[in-house]
Amino acid sequence: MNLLYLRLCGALLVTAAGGLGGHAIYAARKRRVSLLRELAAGLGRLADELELTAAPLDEIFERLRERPFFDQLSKDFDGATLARSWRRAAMAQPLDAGSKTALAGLAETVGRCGAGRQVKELELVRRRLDEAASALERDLAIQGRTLTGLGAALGALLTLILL
Amino acid sequence: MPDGWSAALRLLPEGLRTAARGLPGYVQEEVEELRLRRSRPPTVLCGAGERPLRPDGVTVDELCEVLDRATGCSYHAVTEELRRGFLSAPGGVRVGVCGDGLDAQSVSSLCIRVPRQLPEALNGLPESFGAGGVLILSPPGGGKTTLLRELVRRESDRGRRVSLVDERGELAAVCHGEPQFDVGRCTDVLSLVPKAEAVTRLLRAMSPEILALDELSDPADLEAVRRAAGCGVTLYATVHAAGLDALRRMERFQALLNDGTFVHAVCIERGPPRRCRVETI
Repeated sequence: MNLLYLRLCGALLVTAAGGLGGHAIYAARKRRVSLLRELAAGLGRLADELELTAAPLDEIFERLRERPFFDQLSKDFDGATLARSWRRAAMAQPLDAGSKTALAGLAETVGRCGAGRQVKELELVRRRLDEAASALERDLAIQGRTLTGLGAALGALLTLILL
Repeated sequence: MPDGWSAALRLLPEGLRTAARGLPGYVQEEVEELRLRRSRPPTVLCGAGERPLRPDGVTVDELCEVLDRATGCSYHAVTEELRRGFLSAPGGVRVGVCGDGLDAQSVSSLCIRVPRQLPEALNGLPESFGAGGVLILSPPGGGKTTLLRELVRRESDRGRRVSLVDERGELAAVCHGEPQFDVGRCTDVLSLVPKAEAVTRLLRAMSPEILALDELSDPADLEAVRRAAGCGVTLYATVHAAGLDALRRMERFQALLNDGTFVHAVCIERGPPRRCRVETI
């Protein structure tokens, strides 16, 4: 009897672990959506600041420090190597390759041309990140339950094999 | 006071800075300008002319980095200056910019002028010019700005109220309200304001005994200067000209030379050695 209980408990745990694994994948993708939205909003704020104040970038980054990406840039800012810092910060983001490249590409523009052109380029990348976030969200709406269910099913299958 | 050469070096990317530091000491002491032209070897301009800094051409990335350093990575904050073709970088360094002016990537060449405070520039000049206006003449790169700065400092330290118009931020190189060059204890500086407007503002607000300004050329500036002289102010100014005869041949300067605004002309003759010749207008 005890052995049966143990087996049942084991089966439940393996199934639950499968479900949790599936949910973890779902949660990671959800975090990526949040990150994309956060970066897009940050780029929007940067564009607004450039358009409205045209202040030097060290001042603007200081105002945007509540956003992690700009906080890092603000810390690294030395008035000489922003392009390098921007590229490094962009490539360190846990994003898909396309979004990373688009974000890193701004290194050649930010601080290196008139405010008008910077705003235009920032707006393009902001829209691209927003679109990537929306696409990921759509996928998640479909995949969310599927991933959790699939994880649980795999767990159940494993249980059957082990039993 | 700033070391102009060090301030200029701080604008250079690592590779170029190393090459510049490798120049013989006597050359480093007399460098007037660093010239960076895209895909061409960088050069330094000294008394003997331009000499290459290294055989390799200047890359776009290097030009961009110089601009990043000169603008504090904020090209958009200095577009007005760029439209006029130059930037005032920290330490009183002036960077001349050529290209289509729309972005850093399209810059074709840069001219980094090394600022120098040279009290010895006054050697050979009279101890005092009295009440008459002084016009300093030389071709570009002759040292007019340096000489004007030293004249201003001398008169100011003698207790005369001097108002200095520093349209390009090169004479006093004011940074956070503090002149980077010694322009004397009784000098008031108005920076980055067009000359004609600055003259009017200074006359109204600062009641100067001496009004000093660099590179007269626009008719509006000449008119403002005549107006100031009419108010009893002594003018110290510089102008691009090979000499007094060449200046007399320029029509727009006729009135200024004939109405007594300027009494003395200091003509700088490029050396080596550089010499100043004082003439009466």
